[in-house]
Amino acid sequence: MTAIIQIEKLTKSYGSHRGIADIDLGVNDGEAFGFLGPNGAGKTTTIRVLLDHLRPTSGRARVFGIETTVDPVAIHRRVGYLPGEFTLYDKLTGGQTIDYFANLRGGVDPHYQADLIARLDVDPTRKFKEYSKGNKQKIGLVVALQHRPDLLILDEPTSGLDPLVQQTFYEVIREAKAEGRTIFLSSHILSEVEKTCDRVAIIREGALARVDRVEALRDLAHHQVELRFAGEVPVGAFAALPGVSDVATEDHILRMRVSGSITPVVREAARYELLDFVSREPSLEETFLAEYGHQAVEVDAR
Amino acid sequence: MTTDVRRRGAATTTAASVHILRRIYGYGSVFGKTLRDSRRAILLVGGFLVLMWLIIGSATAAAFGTVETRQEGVQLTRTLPSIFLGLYGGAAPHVETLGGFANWRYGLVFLLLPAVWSLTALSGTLVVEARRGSLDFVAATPLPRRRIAIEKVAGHVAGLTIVLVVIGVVSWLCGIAFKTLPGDEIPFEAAFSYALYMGLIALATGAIAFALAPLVGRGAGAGIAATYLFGSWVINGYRDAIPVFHDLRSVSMFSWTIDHKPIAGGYDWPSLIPLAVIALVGIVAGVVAFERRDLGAIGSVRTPARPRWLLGIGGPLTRSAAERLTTAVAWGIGVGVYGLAIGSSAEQLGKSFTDDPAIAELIRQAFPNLDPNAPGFGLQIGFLSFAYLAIGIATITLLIGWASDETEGRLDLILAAPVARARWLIQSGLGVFLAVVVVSVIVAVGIGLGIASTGADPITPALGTGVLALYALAMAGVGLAAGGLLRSSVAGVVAGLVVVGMFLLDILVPALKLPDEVHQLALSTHFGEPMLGHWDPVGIIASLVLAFGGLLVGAWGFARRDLRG
Repeated sequence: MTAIIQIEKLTKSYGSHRGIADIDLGVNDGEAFGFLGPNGAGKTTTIRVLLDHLRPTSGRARVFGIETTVDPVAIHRRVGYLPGEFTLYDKLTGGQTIDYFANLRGGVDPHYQADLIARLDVDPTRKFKEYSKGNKQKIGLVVALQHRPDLLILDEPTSGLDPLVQQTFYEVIREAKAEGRTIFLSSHILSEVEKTCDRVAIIREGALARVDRVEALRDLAHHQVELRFAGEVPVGAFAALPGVSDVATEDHILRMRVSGSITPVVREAARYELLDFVSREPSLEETFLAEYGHQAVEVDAR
Repeated sequence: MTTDVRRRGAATTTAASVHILRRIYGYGSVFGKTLRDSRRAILLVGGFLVLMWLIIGSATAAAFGTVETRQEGVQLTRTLPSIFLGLYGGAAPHVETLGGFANWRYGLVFLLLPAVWSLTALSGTLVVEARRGSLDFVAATPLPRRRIAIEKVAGHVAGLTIVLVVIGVVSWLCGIAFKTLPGDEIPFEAAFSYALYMGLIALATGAIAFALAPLVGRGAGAGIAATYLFGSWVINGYRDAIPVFHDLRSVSMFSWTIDHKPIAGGYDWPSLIPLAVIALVGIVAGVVAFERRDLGAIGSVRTPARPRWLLGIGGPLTRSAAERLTTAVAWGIGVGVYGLAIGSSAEQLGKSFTDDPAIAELIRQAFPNLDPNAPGFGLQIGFLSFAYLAIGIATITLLIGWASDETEGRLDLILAAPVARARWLIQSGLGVFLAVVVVSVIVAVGIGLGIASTGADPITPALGTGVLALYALAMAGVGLAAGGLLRSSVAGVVAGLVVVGMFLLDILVPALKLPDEVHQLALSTHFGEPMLGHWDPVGIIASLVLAFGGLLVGAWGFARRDLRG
């Protein structure tokens, strides 16, 4: 497959402050790629290097096969970008702002522009300074999408959006993906990446922790199961089951952590008289933190 | 029904007390933080004024150290036409003493600099914090709004007081250290009386901005206060030369206090009462408004909607020009009205140069090739010096606006479009140049209308105003070069240093009898007499080189550095 983004040993340091270090990453054509990490991990720094807003301390990044420092304009021509935080011109209306960015690109399809404005429910007649945070984000989304870019770089794009508009946003992203565009989505919300992306990279403290398919990330998920028995607790029967760990008992209650499929536990439980069966799936955020919060992880770049 | 909710631990937990020193300076209180935030301004304004005093004191001792040289200086000020005196704020009492000379020759800097600081600080102290959202956090603490506003103002007043105390001590010490003739001593009470006068002028101006900023926006509030400050100075300075300013003298705070010049030996304490009243009323109005209005509610001056072609959404050049347009028009009107008044008084100014034989002779010797009866003569010698400073400051404000694209993060999105960095800097810089031209054109119209109202030919002086555009373009070029090479936020600072440096060269070199080569460092000395139609190509070329060279250097630098996030 053609690599749209290629990052090789990319390092960016800000004097004594950590930026990113030795990042190796590849994003393929037509792929939706999630870039996950806690706040301050280095996601925005990486994106700003991709756009040539920052110059690498060492290493290199290529977008569409073009080195970012060599011809950034050629890259920008095919990129749509939504920064994590941005301000625009207070005195212009939303519509005028959108038009300005369309003009900077030499014009866009007005029907698609109007369609985006309608679907994201933007009132283009209000001045930018009068918009709420969510509505400013919508203007930014229109600016990023209106020229149908080959590559969408979105830095925490749903920040401040209400759930309804978030759904519209995901729909737009799915459409862009269906049309064969490449998406590079930075986020600290796992569920967002899970909904929209094929592969995901996890960055922590400026270094890549893992690059994998989203399904593999899902495999990290587990269940916290709690069974209340009418009689004695058969600890041994459950502790020996595949995927079961962290088994603990308290009176007639058995608690365990189940990784992977929960079916063996359900089948085994069906053999006993149960007063209660509670299975809770931890949020992916909890999983993420449990997995990457306090330990180094081997990088599996593909 | 009332609900008595007690949280566990609430009654027993005692907050750690905040050390008194942190309350005074630091993050222990709103006052302490405001004072801490003012530390750079305190050092800058205080340091500059101290330096001024040291230069004035040492240079006066060196250049006017004998009775004879001192009398020459006195004679010069006595024979100066009022148009010259106006440049320095009017009459010059006791100019034969160190204090009198400093008061007359450098009163512009002593009185206006702290006032500009005050209006800048007080117009933004609440408004800027409201705009960036931090006021929401401060107001959510258990501090009443009134106290927040009062502590903010008090923090600035404390900073101003520190500067004034230092200036009082330094001017007193200068009187001792640089005394060469009897009367050079500056009594302790005179030094501090003058410092108090400086403080009241500053606070009165700042209070106007403080009261207005929440209602009309920070820029407009500061603009109105600045207009009143500089307008007062100009009206007072030219009230004896220009009839319209004579009629307006009652609105000038410098006219009210014209007899209060403590370091020159004049005291008029009652004249300070109106200043104190303005300061108090302005501050109280600002505090009450902050207390009663919605938190963060900032009004703005409603202007008519612009036609689409004036919105500047075609590209970086038009966008930059359109964003600067309001500021440019405001500056143009401000300086243009001044030009209009001076221009309309050209006839009286001409008479003041020729009626008195002694003055006529002085003028003939100083400007042997110029016709004092020409309508542009008064403008050339009486208007340009102030106008260079004014358009220089205007350029600084335009550069600060230009820098906001980077400092406020807009460039992250703009430069994600297919716009090369160098192209953006050149086009947006040209937008600043266009704004500079707008200022100059409006000033030219003002001057032209003023001259035309006297029946004289307005074309030559109006075209001569082009010198302001050249000067401002050069300053803009310097700022853009620095902004491109280093970071946008330094563009206004660097241009400001150059503008102030040029102004000081213009006023200090002749007064201190420094070599002409030093004076030649000021760009303004290389333009010829443009108000009279005599242009020096050296100044034109130098300005264009600085302007477009600066633009190219800025573009080169900007293409090579990180974008500030």
